[in-house]
Amino acid sequence: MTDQAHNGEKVAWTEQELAEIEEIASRYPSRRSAMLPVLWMAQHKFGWLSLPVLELVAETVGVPPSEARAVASFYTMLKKKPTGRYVLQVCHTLSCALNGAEEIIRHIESKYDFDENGNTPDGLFTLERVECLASCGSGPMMQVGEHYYERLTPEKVDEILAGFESGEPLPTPRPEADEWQWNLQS
Amino acid sequence: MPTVKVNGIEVEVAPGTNMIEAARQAGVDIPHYCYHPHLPVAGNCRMCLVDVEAGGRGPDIACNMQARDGLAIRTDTDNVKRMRRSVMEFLLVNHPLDCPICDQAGECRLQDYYMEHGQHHSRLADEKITRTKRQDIGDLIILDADRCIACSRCVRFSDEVTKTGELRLFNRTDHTEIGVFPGTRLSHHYQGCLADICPVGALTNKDFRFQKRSWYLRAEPSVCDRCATGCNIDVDHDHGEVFRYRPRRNDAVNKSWMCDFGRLSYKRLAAEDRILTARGPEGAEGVDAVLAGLAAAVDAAARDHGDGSVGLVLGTRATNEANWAMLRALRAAVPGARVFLVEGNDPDAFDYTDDLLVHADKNPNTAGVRLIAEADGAVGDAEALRAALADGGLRLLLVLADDVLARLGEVRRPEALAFFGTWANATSEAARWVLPLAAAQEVEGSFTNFQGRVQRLQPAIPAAGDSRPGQVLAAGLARALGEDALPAGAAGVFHDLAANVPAFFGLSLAGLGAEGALVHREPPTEQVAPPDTRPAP
Repeated sequence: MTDQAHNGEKVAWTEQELAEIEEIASRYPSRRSAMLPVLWMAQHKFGWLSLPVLELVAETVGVPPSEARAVASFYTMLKKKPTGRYVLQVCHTLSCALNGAEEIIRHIESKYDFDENGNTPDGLFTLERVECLASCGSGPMMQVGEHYYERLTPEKVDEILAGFESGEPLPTPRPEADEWQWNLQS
Repeated sequence: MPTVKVNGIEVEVAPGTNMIEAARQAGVDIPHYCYHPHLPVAGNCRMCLVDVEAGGRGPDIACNMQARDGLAIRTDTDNVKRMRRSVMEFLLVNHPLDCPICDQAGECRLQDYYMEHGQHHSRLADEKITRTKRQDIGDLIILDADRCIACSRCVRFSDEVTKTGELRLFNRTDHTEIGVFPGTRLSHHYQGCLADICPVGALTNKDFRFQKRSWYLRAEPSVCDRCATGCNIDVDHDHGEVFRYRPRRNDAVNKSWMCDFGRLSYKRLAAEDRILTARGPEGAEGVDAVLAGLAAAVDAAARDHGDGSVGLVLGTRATNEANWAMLRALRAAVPGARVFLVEGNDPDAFDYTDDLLVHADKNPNTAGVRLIAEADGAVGDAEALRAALADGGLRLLLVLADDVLARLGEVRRPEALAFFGTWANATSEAARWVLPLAAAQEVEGSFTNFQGRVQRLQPAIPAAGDSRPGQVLAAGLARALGEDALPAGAAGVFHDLAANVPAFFGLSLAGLGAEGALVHREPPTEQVAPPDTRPAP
């Protein structure tokens, strides 16, 4: 077992989170099926899936740690490396590309000093090129958290990023997105 | 029973048989990497693609195709050849082609199938994807992820057989990489099996790596002697030296597996503590001279103090033949000699037991000796031996194979002790006469495992030093005692055993076959004469 801590802290669930996990697990005939939602919860809680976090998830759903890592390594949306507080996911698939996605990406790149993992040294931003987010009629676009910023221009990007730099909280998802998620769970 | 056709050959197979096994029964070999008869089907390597002629749609993979009436497949079409070639090409895209420094060379399915079905020129324009080489992931295993073809046999083995789940395929598509959770190592005691089932050079056995090119080795079928399970093994040897044991398939005993303790026990054959020469009161002497000295002592004890002053302890670590021959020899010369069976594990037994293969009884032949003792009807247990020693009536004790003094613990020692054994121990230390007993992999004979399965031993290498099979030493002792009529050959001794021990009625050594034969649990009321398979004199 690894002795490392996650970002210098021991990882653990709160009582409330444990109750939520039990609720998730109760939806499936086998407990290991809760792997993906629990990984997702862990990513929300800890920011990224370090080895200690993966071990915690494996223990929680009752599988060997190797399985948690195998699943996490399969999905690009599950982060195996630390990310900044705001993850800027800029779509670069066809519609956005034709509408200037590369210009938006280059503009963001020119504003900060991103390292090879796409992180800024202050831990504020992570820049990612992502595939289609199904907002083709309003490109170029990017997703931050669960919020879509659409019809981007360099000026609009400056405005959004300035807000984040001043400590603006992650925007909540669009109401209809909330409703969609709620429908899925019920 | 469904009847299927493979390349036009009709074959009737058991329900549930897949088409790789059905083809095997029809004498057709279908190449495969990920399929293993003792693991769940994964169907990911695609090497076993065949054309379906009737009874289904094809091409399809034979491993996941269950035999059903009317199903007909072909493995000899141009289409199948093309598919195999294409699969090989994909499997080799990122393979490092480091055969000259790979320990799997010579027993590698990538090499074998490339020669049979590949033979293409590389069309790869891009750089190969490289992965981590030489990872030390366990006491017995080195992982070279570069050579892996992602067949997942090792993953299924860890999940389904050892149920430890350490191995997984990480990442996706052409970046897929086999590995363990970072910072952890394999923890189970069946690691050698991973190297066995890896069809390529990704998982190799640390103990065997670079010791020998596999094509120099010859394999002899035998049985592991480190516990009562009696896993079937192949003894891989060259010029009288054993380089490794590998599990030999026996679905009734060990499937395709064996534990690491047994696997590494080949080292015991050439261990420092092997008893290689006979030793008498005057030091090292020839085997015959020591047997003569012992026989004289047996005669003297029986003459001066009665038959009951001589005793024999049967050996749970010795073959059926060694035990039977010793019992016969002593009973013939000294009819009233006392015989004992002391069960238990010796100090050199390994300290591990599980419910997969490793039995708590670390002796290979306890069941066989029990049956012999039962048939004799006058064999005492450890308590009886302790009592016989305590009152001093038992003066001369012959011990076969087991470290009986260690098993008894604090006990009054007999005046004189003779030990017929393979490795030095407390009993051999205390013995006045020591006779070198050949190891299980050096002799003809049989063990009876805990299931009551009599399994055949065949010599892989010559007996070390002056050591001899137990029945040969017993016959020598009998001769020195004036009994000439006892057989010294294993087949002859077994024949005699099968004629006298009810549980063995009807069995013969040659008739045991590769998978052994069960003893009678309810001994037949009438004696079944064993077939006489001894060579004509």
